[in-house]
Amino acid sequence: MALHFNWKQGQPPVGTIDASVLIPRSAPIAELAAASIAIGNRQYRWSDVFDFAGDPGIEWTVPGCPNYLNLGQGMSTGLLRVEGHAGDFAGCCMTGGKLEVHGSAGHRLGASLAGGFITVSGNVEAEVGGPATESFEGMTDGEILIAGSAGPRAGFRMRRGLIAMHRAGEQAGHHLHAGTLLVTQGPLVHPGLGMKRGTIICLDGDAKPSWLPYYQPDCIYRPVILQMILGRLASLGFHLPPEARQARYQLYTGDRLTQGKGEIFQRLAE
Amino acid sequence: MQPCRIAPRLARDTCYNRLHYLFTQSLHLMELRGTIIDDTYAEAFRMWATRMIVTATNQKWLHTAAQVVTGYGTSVIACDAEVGVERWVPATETLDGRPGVALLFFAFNHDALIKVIPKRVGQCLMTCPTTAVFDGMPTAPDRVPMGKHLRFFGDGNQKSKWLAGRRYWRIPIMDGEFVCEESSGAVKAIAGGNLQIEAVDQEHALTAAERAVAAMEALPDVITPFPGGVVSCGSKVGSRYPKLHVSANEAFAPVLRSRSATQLHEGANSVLEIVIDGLSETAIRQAMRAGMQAATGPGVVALSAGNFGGKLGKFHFPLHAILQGDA
Repeated sequence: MALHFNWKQGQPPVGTIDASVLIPRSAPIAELAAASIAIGNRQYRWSDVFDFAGDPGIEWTVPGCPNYLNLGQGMSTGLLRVEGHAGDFAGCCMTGGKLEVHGSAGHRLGASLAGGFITVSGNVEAEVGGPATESFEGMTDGEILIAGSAGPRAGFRMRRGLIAMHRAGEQAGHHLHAGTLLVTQGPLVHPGLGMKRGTIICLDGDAKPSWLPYYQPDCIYRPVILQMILGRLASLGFHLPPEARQARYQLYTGDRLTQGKGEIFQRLAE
Repeated sequence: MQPCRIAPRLARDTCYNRLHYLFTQSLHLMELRGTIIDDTYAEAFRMWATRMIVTATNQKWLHTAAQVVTGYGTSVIACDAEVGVERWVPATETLDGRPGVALLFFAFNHDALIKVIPKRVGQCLMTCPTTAVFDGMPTAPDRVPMGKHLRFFGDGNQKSKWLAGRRYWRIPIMDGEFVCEESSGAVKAIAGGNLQIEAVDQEHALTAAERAVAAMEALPDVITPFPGGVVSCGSKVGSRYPKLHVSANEAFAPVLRSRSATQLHEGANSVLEIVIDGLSETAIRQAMRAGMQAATGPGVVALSAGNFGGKLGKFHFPLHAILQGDA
């Protein structure tokens, strides 16, 4: 059974909560209760903020709060389940384990993610998979699945890994260095601005994307690599449009103002 | 003349060997559905193996790819590797959702595999339309390069993609892209498990061999690398010609029955052999057991196995013990 955290006061405290300390680990409840957490500019014991129920272990369920900052930062193992909003920079610098958000998340979900797996049942705000604070590198590995919409510049400066979402805001793949960004519902608005390498995929065959002039069409085909990516997403339980795996895609490459090695696959209407 | 002087001695030796052989066999006689199972063992030796999964857009091109890449892959006596189809993989099990085939490659050692695999993948699979190649042993620590070498064919336009911790290379080619995993896992394996089927005539030998191969094909971790899984020219080590390492095995050649130290049973006029390569001793034992059970029957005089007195390999597969489930 998981270890459940509940708000002591029945609601979250006022002020930004430094949630970077909320990382699943096998420790006795007494030890967790004595640990400290910063809220605003003051330190509190966890027992002042949370009630605990369940068994200690590496599977934790915490209540949601938009005031969280850096929830699960550097997490390397276990499962952290959030019942509600995950705040900004959730899953920042994770190297392993799973962050499961039953709700939405703020800016830069999975910032500088280096491994592990993040799922979000709601929406996320800007620059998912972007760089962590004081870093220029976006996510370098791992997988992020978003059932809802992502804000602008999804995959900002991303270097490796996979982000899949239902809808994306404008400039998805902004300065993408490598990695894969997948959107099930288009249209894409100015995707891949400054993209050096990497892959952006739009599975919406009826969408009319607005391309930047720095992208040129190459060919129409059924890429095997896409069939592999979609197979991987299906195995993770990500909802995909029907027949997406067998569909034909138009390949565009760019951004020709940079290296021009980035690629955008736009599904074609059958 | 010299041949005349030799002939009586050969005849005497042949007669002695045959009697000695029959005597020792009679001590431990075992029969299954009227077929004698010789009290002997198959001798096998250490090899290295890798498994790759090849996919293609449809069965036609999948079979073409499998046929070409397994060609000239019967015996390491003269081929660079022993290659065969382990099983046909349904589209629901492959990484790209297309029909696939699992192939096993066996070579003398790890270095030999490193030479063989990029060549065969490059010449036989990359050239075959719509194919993609994946590692069939992703957890094996020892690796054999595939896309790691072949990517250079892309001349700088190749791209790599990491997915679930595995790296794939996408090489631009004329019909789209050739997707090939970075490397393939390699493990120590065993080659040379075998069964010899002695039958009253060629037809019975062939049908018995086909039954045995069909039974073995259903099992994992083994291949029968020879044409249709069957060898019609089992060999012995050495030759009267110094440059030849192997030569015809007189002891199992019916046409030399009267002129050699034959080991054929009375009434056996045709012999076919099934060579089995496997990833483990257990896999070879299971294949041999399934093969023996399937091969026996009317017209099949005896089942035997080839060995070299323990000089060739350290793995011995005794027929009686395997059939009884003891080994």
